Parts: sequence; C-alpha cells; structure tokens
Amino acid sequence: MRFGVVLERLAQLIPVLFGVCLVVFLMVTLTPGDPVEIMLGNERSTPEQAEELRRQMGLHLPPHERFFAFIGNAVTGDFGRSFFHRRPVIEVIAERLPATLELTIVAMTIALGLAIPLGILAALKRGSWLDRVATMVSLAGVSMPGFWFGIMLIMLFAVHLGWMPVSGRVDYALEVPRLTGMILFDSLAHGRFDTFRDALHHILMPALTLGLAMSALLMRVTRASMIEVLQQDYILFAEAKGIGRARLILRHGLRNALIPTVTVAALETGYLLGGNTIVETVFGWPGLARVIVEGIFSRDYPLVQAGVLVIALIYVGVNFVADLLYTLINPRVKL
Amino acid sequence: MSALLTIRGLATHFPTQLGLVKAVDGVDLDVMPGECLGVVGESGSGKSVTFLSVLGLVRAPGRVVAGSIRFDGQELAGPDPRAARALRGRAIAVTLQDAGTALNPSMTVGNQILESLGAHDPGPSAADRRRRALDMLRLVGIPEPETRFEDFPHQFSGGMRQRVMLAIALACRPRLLIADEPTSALDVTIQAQVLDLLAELRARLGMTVVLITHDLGVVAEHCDRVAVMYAGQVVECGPTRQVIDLPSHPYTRGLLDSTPDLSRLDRKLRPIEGQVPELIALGAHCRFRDRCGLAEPRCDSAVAMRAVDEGHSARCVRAGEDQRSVRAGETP
Ligand SMILES: Nc1ncnc2c1ncn2[C@@H]1O[C@H](COP(=O)(O)OP(=O)(O)O)[C@@H](O)[C@H]1O
Ligand SMILES: [Mg+2]
Repeated sequence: MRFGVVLERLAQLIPVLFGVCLVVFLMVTLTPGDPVEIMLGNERSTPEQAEELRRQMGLHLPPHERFFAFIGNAVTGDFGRSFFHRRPVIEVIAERLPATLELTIVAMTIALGLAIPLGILAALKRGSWLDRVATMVSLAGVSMPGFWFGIMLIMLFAVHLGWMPVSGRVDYALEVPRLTGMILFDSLAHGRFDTFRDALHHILMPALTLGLAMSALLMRVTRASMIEVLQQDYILFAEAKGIGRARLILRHGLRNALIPTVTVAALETGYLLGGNTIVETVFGWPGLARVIVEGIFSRDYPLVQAGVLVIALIYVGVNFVADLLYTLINPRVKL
Repeated sequence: MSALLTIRGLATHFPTQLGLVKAVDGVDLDVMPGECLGVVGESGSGKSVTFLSVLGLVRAPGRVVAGSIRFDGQELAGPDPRAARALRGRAIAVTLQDAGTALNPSMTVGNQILESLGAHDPGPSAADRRRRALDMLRLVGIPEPETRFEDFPHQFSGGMRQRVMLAIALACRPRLLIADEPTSALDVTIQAQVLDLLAELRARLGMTVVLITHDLGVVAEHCDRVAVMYAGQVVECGPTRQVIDLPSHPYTRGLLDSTPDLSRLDRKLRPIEGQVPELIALGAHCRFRDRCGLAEPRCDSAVAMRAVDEGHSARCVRAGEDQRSVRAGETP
C-alpha cells in the first residue's frame, strides 16, 4: 500500500475522533450528578472547600471552555488527571488495558478455533446431523445473552462444582512482575508456570462466554462462504488437476472462503478490545470497560472521556489493520 | 486401432426437487489415440456432464448410475473412485469454459502451474519445477513469463487467461485433453488465436483432444470426427466431413442449417423450431420427435444407433435406409 493512502486514511480519522470526543463530552456533562459532591461524600465540608475542589478540577469554567481545553490537551497527549484515582488518567487506562487485551486474545482464539473447523465441517457435510447441530448451537450462541451464560457458568463450575474461581484475573498470592500486564504472557516470560495455570483458570470462563458468542457468527459466516466457494469453477478445475483432498479444501477452498471470516473477526476484535461491560462486570475482570463504568459512577469526567476516546482509537485502528489484512488475503483488492 | 477412451452406456443422473434429471442417458463414444474429436450440441445437451463423468468429477447429488468408461483399458466408472482420481491432471486434463472463473483468484498463476507439477511430476527440485512451469507459460504464448509468473489471474486479459488455463492443464503432459468450450467466453478475434494454439499444442505434444463446442464451424475446421449430442444422448457420430456432407439425423441437419456460412450468404438460416425437452420423465420415444418435421409412427418407440456408413452412425429410424428422406428438408 502506498504511503499517501495511509496518510489519507489517517486524515480521515480526525473528524471521526473529534465527533467521538464531542459526544462523550456532552454525555458526561449532561449526566446528572456533581463529581465534587460525590468525591466529598459524607465528609463534612464547607462550601469554600467544595469551591476550591471545583476550581482544582477545572469545573468552574463554562462547558465550551472545558471542551476545548480537553481537546487541546488531548492533542498533546495530556488527558488530565482522574478525579477519583488522583493520578493521570492515562496511567489508570494503561493499567487496565492489558486485562482487556488478554481477554480479547483468548476469547478470539477460542472463537476462531471453534468457528473455522466447525464452519468447514458443516459446509462439507451440509445437511448432515453435524451441520444441523452446529447450526443450532450457533443460533443459540447468537441469541443467548452473555450475562446469563456467564452467570450460568459461574453457578455451575465455580459455585456448584468449585472447579473454577468466581472472579478476578489471578490469585493475589501469585502476582508476577509486570512486563506487558498480560498475566498469561508475563508468567510464561518469567517461567512461572504456577501463575500461568492459575491465570488460565481465571480467564477460561469469561473468555468462553465471549468466545462462544463470537464464534457463533463466525461459524455461520465461514460455513456460508465455504459452501459458496466450493461451488466455484476454480474448485472443480483444481480438483481436475488431481491434487489431494486436504489441499483442495484448505488451499483452494478455505483460503478464499476466509475472506469474509477475517472481515467479521476484525470487527469483532475491535468490539472486544473496547472491553465488554457485562462480562467484565459479571466476572470481576478489571479491564477497560469496568474502569469506565466505575468512572461513570464516580462522575470521573476525565477518566470516562479518555477511556471512550481510547476505545474509539482502538476500534478505528483495528479496522485499519483489517483493511490491510484484507488486501493481503484478497489479491483483487488494492487499497 | 483400439480406442484411448471408450464410453459405453454411460448414464449420469441428478436427483432434484422436480425429479430425476437424466443429464446423460446412454452415451456411447470412442476417442481414438491422436485424434481430435468434436462434441457438439445445444447447451444443456449433456456434453460437459459426460466428460465430468469421465474425470469422476460429477458433483453430488449427481452420480454416474450406469455404464463403463475405459481409459487405455482401465475401468474408471467402477466402484473405486481412486481409479479416476489417479488419472486426473496426469493422463487426462480438462480446461473449462470460462478461465475467468476456473482459475483460483487468490493464487498466482505460477503457483497454480507448480501445484499440478508438484502433484504428479515433482522432478528433482523446486528450481526444476519452476523452470518447467516457465516453459509451460512460454509454450502457450504468454509474453515475459518470468514477470507474469507472480501475477494473479485477474491481472491477465481473457485470452491470456485461457492460455494460462491451458498451461496449467497441460503441465503434466496429459495424453488426453478435454477442452470444454474453450472459445465460448472469448471475443471472436481471440477465439481463432486460442483454437490455433490448441491445434499447435496438439501437434507438438501429440495429444488426443476432445473439443466440446456448440459451433459446427469450429468442428469443421479442427476436428477429425464429430459426435452430435442431443438431450443426453449421442444422436450422430462419424468423420467430420461425412457428417457435414451427409447429415443422417434431422437434428444434425438442423444444426447445419442454423450455422451461418460466409461463402453462402444467399442461403437462409433456419433455426430449429421448439426447445430441448425437459430431461425429467423422458418417454422411450425418439427424443427429437416433437421437434422433427419428419416424425412418423416408428419414432414413438426407442431408437438405437444405426450405421450409415463405415464409422458413421445416427440415432434415427431412417438413418442408412433412405438418405434422401432425411435430407428432404435441405435448402436448395
Ligand atoms: N448439478 C446439477 N443439478 C441438476 N442438473 C444438472 C446439474 N448439472 C447439470 N445438470 C443438467 O444436466 C444437463 C446437461 O448439462 P451439461 O452437460 O452442462 O450441458 P452442456 O455442457 O451440453 O451445455 C442440463 O440440462 C442440466 O440441467
Ligand atoms: Mg457445458
């Protein structure tokens, strides 16, 4: 891809991100509730103290001035300080992002690991019992609410059977030195297999909850696209060349059938990276979505604004990467 | 001389929601070593399905339900699908009608040739395979093969794609090439080039060719013998010259009358009235009866192939007995 096209794409992002900032700012500002009151809470405080705090947090300024100050600072990479955590919001977000990232990677691995083989099998054995079961399961997966499935998993495997931890990322006794913030990776890097096992135990149920829901759509897309591809003339022509069946299905069939799957997977990854509020809440997963929800409850304006902006950035970033990937797997498309 | 490919009583049926489609229903054909056999007929007459059956490539739910297919003495229509599989691409190759859809869009043409070689004739090394693949591109007349090697199919023009498809099909030097309508998807100016290339390759590689087409003009120019198909059956078969000069089936006659001839512009073209019958629930009667101007009571029962001359036969009750009556419809 040409460099000019990349620049053009990036330039197109500016109005999008500005729009995102404006909408988030308006929503935060229009939400009832005063952050100062929430911060002071039950503590006895004088109106002077409250006024002083308001001034510190910049809340004495009129809304439009606050908005442009926020934009101006954001451009220079300064997203302000969290009211609640009393440190730069970017620090708070950076701390939580790896948890979401880790959950996304594991969930997507589960989703693709189930969806692609099942999609291929269902397409090859169209109309068989396997196809029907896979279609039914995926329909259930699409329509099943994530929180319900998550709670069911917790009830069965954590509460009833006691096989799985109820919430969190890792047993507190087992913290490992932070490298990337992704515990699975860090523990492996430090050779701490006990921690790795424990973290894997923790991530399994939330990742399964997200992954199964994602795999349902991915499987249906893979199946439909595989069925279509297998009817193409080039499959017949390749078969007439006398190549083996595995090569025919994978190299000629799947390779072409994956094009729509990759597109959907990229969209889903962008969505997952924003953090899933329900799953992070149900499983007590300290990720990006949870920190934003906490920020909303404490009227932590800077945290919420920066958090949503980061999600928007990730989403457009992932889609950009998806476009690049798309040109790689589909030689007919040029950016 | 014994035939390279012998088809006897071939029947290939497709169960559909409307009923059983008898796409091929009792086809007998011989392909002699070294010859070019033309197979003509309107679209839907079963030409493609006949030769997909030979390759063992009929798609489910379609199935070869009866008959024998012998290639070089070996039975391909038996219960073991490996027999046909072992010959595909190696001894018997095929090109499809539209190279635009027959080439894998996400694979470079070089890799598509290499894949054929790798499957049947890997040779001593990858470098050797690459050299042979380049030779194939050169052989079919692709300019600058080294640079085009890494190109994807969509980067070629229609005529060039047809050549690429030939290069892939012929990579392992098959003894028999089945060219299914090689020119139907091409511009008229390109058609002649591709046919000439095919003739040249046939001579150079000593191949036997089955040329499927619906153009009798192409047959007249390129084929030693011709088989005319109608509604899943061969209705006339013989040396090209004889069949064209002395058509012994009213359908062949009709095809000739509807083929434009530049040397006889005064002649009026006469399309065949009516349509190909539905291939579902066909009666035992002659399949051309309802479109035939010469139908008579004898046509109501099944008609077998009847010899007209040495190596020339037709599936018509009048064939061989009264030539003038078959040709009665001839335009003066
Ligand atoms: N997959 C299929 N399902 C049902 N009928 C088919 C299928 N493939 C081919 N046929 C039928 O077989 C007949 C012959 O087809 P084909 O051999 O492709 O004709 P031709 O090559 O002579 O144009 C057609 O009438 C078509 O309806
Ligand atoms: Mg055809």
